[in-house]
Amino acid sequence: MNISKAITIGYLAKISAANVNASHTEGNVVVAKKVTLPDGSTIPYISGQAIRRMLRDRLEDLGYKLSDLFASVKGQEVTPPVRPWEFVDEDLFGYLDPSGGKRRTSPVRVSAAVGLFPFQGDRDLGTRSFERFGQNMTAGGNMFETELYANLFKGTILIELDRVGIFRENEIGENNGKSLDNSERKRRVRDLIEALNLLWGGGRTARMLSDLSPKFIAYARLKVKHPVFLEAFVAHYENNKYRLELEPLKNALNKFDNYFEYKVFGLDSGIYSNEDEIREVLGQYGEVVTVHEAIAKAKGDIDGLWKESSA
Amino acid sequence: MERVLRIKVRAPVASFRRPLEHNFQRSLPMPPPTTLVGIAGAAMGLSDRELWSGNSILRQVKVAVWMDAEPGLTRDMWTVLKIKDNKKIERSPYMRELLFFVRYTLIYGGDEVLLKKMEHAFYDPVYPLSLGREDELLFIEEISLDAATEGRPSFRGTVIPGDFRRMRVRPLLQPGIRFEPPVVETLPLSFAVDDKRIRHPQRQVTLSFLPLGVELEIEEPRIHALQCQGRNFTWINS
Repeated sequence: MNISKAITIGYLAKISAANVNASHTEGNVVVAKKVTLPDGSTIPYISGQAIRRMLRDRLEDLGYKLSDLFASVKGQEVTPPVRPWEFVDEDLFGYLDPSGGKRRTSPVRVSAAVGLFPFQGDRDLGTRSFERFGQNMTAGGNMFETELYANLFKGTILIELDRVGIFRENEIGENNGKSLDNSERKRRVRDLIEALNLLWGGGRTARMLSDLSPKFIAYARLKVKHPVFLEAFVAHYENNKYRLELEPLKNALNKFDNYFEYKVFGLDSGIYSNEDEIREVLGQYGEVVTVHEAIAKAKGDIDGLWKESSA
Repeated sequence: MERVLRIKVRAPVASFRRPLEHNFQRSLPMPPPTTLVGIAGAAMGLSDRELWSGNSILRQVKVAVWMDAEPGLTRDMWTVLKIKDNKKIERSPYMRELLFFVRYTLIYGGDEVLLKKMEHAFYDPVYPLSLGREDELLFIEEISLDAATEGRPSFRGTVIPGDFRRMRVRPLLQPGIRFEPPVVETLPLSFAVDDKRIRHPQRQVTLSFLPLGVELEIEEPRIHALQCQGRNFTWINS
């Protein structure tokens, strides 16, 4: 019997120069979201909500019709459709219907993507020319700055397999709940992984477009619901490339060894200085292929779910 | 000696909003008692109604927590679409404090049968476990059924019942230490969940969240200190 409870994916995304997720504006400076460590250094991050939004948008690109969060507005109360069998985003990302107390906790958990290197204080200078406002170009313009960074971001996604496409009574307000057939459940999980493969978005994409698709991925199907790769990524910078430290990843893989049902690693070339070492070490734990091959294998793995059991 | 379940956790991001704070949501430095009970409830697969009902399996569980490392801190801006006259209007900014790279030890006490059930649940949680909001996933480093012995009333980086400002406290100062003042907050120990699944705070108590950077000797007869793994702690909710 298939007893997989979760899929967890740890990934690394490379940003060359961008401010994917901004905080509030300070004067004329668009500030990047970042955290201050006890030693005073700062690290940029992209919030989990921002990544959820990007995943949602990419699912729309893949042809899904998304729910209207403002399906019903009465005074200050906003009610979503609450039809998760119809809307993939309600199924995967949950909702709250304050009017009826119906609430679905997202079966897909998305961690913030946290930079592996400190913010260096870089800013992009721009000018908003007065020419746009009917004046001569020689009148100049307003200067503004945008904080930006080059960094490698680590993120984690955890998918609760026993909840995707399964809607309980208190989530939808209908006796006995509802469920989708297994082929639709698999399609949704597969397409969520494809959405990660296509990930881009955030703010300032008109002039700072960045590709957030993974440049390293660790995919695992598990008997338990643990985000095993959450704290497993550490990197250093050497010879103009990133060096992925393998001890934390090995520790996570060894620690949860009894709980893995399938795992595969994807590694893109030209990013890491220790590619051969990564292939050799991780090869002892599972197949190491390119990221797009790993995504394809992950989708193939999902196809094999729920063959004997309905949940 | 007392049997305890010790769970060592870490997470990239966590936040524990202080009650009643709305536009600027500061975070408590450590999970409050309801969060500690909630984490155990999530591991055991209890719904909010089951968790906070009068006959909940976790009704009598004792909780404590200590911090194993100083976290990073940020003030995260997010925006909420405000509605007026049934129309969408501009986004309204809110700030929420987030803690980064947290490391805590969660301690649970109770009868051994319950602790063993909880231990099993933490190895194989029904729902993914988080420190705060649902995306603030935690990573379990260690699960252990331990013995807590009599401790000394000398605390750091933990939560104690009562208002620290009204206690006789002797900080053990040393050159070069840095610490934030303790946080004192009135917090519920449980909730009542209504038909719309809205939680209403119950059994409000005053708690003091002590900093990690300094050891505080506290003369307070009501605080019964226990010790485990070399750290002193006390039950927050008993």
